[in-house]
Amino acid sequence: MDNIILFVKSFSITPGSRYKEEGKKAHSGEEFREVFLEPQFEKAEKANVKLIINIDGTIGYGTSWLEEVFGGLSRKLGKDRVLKTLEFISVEEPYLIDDINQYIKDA
Amino acid sequence: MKKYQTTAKYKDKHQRLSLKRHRRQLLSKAKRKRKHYRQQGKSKYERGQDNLATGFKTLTAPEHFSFIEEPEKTIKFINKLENFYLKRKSVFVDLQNIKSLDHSAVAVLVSVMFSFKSRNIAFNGNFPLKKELAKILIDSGFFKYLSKPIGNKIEYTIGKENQIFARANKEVNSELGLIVMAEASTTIWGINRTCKGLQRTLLELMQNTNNHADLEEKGAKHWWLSVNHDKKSKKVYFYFVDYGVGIFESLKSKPSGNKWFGWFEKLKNKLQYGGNDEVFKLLLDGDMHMTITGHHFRGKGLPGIKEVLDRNQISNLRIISNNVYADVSEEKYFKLSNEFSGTFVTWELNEHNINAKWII
Repeated sequence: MDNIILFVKSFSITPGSRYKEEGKKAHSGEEFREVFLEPQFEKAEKANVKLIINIDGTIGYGTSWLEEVFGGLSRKLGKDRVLKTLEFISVEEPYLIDDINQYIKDA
Repeated sequence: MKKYQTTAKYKDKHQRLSLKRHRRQLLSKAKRKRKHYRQQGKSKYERGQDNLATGFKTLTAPEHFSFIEEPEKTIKFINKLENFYLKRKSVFVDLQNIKSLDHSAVAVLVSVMFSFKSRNIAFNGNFPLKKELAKILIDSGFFKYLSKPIGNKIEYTIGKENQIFARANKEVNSELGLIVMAEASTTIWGINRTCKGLQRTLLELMQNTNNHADLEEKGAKHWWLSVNHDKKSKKVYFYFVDYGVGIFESLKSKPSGNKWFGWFEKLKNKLQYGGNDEVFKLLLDGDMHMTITGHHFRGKGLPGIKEVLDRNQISNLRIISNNVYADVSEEKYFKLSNEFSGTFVTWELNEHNINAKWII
């Protein structure tokens, strides 16, 4: 099986808050992690392939959203598992990849 | 039969009522006299203005009404308004003689007016005599909101170049950035462009208000955004304000379980002077962790906005919170002589800021 690619823009082009409760039009990180990321992560782990997250195609990210998604996953599953399976692509904001990796390690 | 009007009981009652009426008439006469005396030498317009303010506490706005240029005077004015608000006193804001006015002040004024009206406290004001200043106020929608009852939100109006927008329920609204960005980029570059720094700034500020503006409860305070387009200079100015506890009060009051508990005091002890202005610089640079723990911390919240400025995605970032005025772009941090309870942030987007192809 090939690596799995997950586009954040297929969730929303306006990712917003950390938690769902923070706004009706907030497109929260918590929601993305639970509904999109975790099922795909499980699938990738089972198939022993990489889950590649493409973070391009949105109008921008708040730091809390990124931390909740990737730091949150790391808190739940452990940073070694997360770092082993996740990879990131960004042409528009490559500097965010370093930030995300740090959120995973710091979680 | 004896007539009722001639009985002693009637006469007593009549005398009592007459005396009461007489006292009332004397009071009214004295009041009329005082008013007449006050209004002597005033024009018909001035007399009209006096009548408009009857029953209100009149508060005169600072001559140079700008949160950016005259922060201390403007904060003093806001604090007086806040006092009246807490005492539920009706306020008449006298703007007649102001000599200058900018959108930072209008943003504050509209948000204060909104707060008064949402608690059913009467709020009124007059026009500046200078026509160009009156126009700024009219364009902002200040008088429109003043003259009609408002609910708990003011909606963003697409296509309006100078406006204030407030979100009810203090929410994070990530979709707002899309409309604001489309309009701002059209003013600057003539077409829709993606400005990721703008979205980051808006999100960090909304999240900050939602999470930290109130010490007891999340999502308890409103935030306000004013967006003002200057087509001539191809710039768009943003003003964001909340009336929460402010950055330093929020930092000082972290509960014992919170990772920031006690940091504020520890940090102050490590600094040369220990003033909020010094702390703020460290906070924005993401160096607070470094000072305390020796490790750098990837900025979340306010440092996230500073990163956006450093990447040239926004310009001219200035922040006022509690007793600190930070001109972040110029790296100048000042201690103010009075305290603003809340956070005020302004920045601009111009043609030199980094932008990308529109994403839709």
